[in-house]
Amino acid sequence: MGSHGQKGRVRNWTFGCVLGMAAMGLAACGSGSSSPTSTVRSTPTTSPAGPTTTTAGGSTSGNQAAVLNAWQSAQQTLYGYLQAPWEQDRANLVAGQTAATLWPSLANYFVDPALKSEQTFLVGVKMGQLNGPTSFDLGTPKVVAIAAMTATVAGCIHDTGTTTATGAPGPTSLGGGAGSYSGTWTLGLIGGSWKIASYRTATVPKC
Amino acid sequence: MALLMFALPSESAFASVGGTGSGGSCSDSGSTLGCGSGVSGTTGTGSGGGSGGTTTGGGSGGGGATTVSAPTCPNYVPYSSEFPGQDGGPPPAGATQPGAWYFNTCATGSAASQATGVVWLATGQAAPTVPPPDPAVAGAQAASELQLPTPTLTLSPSTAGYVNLAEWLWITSAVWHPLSTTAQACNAGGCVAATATATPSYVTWNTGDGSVITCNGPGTPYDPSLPATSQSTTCEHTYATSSAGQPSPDGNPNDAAFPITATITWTVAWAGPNGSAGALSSLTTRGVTSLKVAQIESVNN
Repeated sequence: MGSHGQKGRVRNWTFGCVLGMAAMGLAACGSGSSSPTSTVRSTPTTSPAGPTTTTAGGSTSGNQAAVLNAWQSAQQTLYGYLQAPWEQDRANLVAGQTAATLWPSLANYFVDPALKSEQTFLVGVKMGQLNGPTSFDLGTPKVVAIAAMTATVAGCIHDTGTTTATGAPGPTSLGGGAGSYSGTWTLGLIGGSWKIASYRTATVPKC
Repeated sequence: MALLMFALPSESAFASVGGTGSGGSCSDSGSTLGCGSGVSGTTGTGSGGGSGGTTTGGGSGGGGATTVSAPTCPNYVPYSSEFPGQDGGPPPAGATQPGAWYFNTCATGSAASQATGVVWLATGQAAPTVPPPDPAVAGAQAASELQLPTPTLTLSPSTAGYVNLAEWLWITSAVWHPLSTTAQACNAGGCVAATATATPSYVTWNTGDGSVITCNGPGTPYDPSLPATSQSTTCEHTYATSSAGQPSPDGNPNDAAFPITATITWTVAWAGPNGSAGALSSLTTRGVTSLKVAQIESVNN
């Protein structure tokens, strides 16, 4: 499901990629020079992480670490919200609350269009009465491109997928079924914090 | 500019059950990224994202023109058009008529300003119009996110004061400037951003001997390189008694000192769109120190 719930939305790749290039001024989408890797493996969490803040103009390795940290925090925050029981979230949505209110920490790590995509996906999962993935593995993301204000992370996420009340996999369009998703994420340095602005992912047999 | 290829119809896509659907909004593709792309003309504009509450001394983000028109809020589209094959589940408690879930997908023109949510509409029922939040709500939210500095207290004489000798009081002037934070409030009608600004107003000194001194500024640092006669301050206190018998910071009775606090009172105001503005309750931040005060003993020959 990883960035997220997009395995059923592969056709959106082009939008995210083109947008990333246009809005963020990237020379390429999902490509670039290689750079030191950082291993990030996470266990399930239900507590969204705190904001990650960095500043422009730091060392390259420091900026790469900040980018990876932001990416990891973004994924953990998203999965944290996904893993929260759907009953209360759905009740709040039915009562008229908005995604921005229900999942405020997303805005710490995502900006449009990625933010809206994740908000929409969460609405679908919660309204669909689905349980979030019981576990996920963020793999070994790499910073494949970085500039003063933009960065690109390549990685592969595996998760156990959303499930229905009976334990069956959720709809494919809502991240049902265990799977691995390889992709690239474009981050921008906004207000001193790296945030995911767009991404594209694809289902792969194995990370 | 490539972003323009994602421009959305300017018309809102208000839907009602039995109607024709989304009215051509981005929702008909099941493509949230495509939909987000329509909004995303703001992504590269330098807008700070609205939420998150960054406290700055000089403001953040550049704003910038939005190049893409987006549906105004609320913009309800059939649930299944956003989530193909899904209906959103059972109706809300109390629903007595057949109907369907609708998905609110809209943007108000700045990054992270979605009002993403759902509404149940009975068949034939028009989508509700929802006013956006009162900007005062966003202003109060912003004020709650202000991160105001605590003052660092400096005294002169600094290591020990003396009875009947004026003690200069000041705090670090670096904190003496307005601080602002922007936050947004959202509902189904959209999002509203407001900026809260805290301005230091005065400093209240509790000097530990029962006196309370109010200074309309950070105070004036004493410069030992200048003649005392060429310096003056309006923020000072003269102790009439020694600190003997006061609590001792290190437990040694010989180091008994007056506990001193300096409290900055910040006046807080918010400003929102279209000239909306208001005042909020003041905030305070406080720093502490202590000062040993001794009697100046005369020597009789």
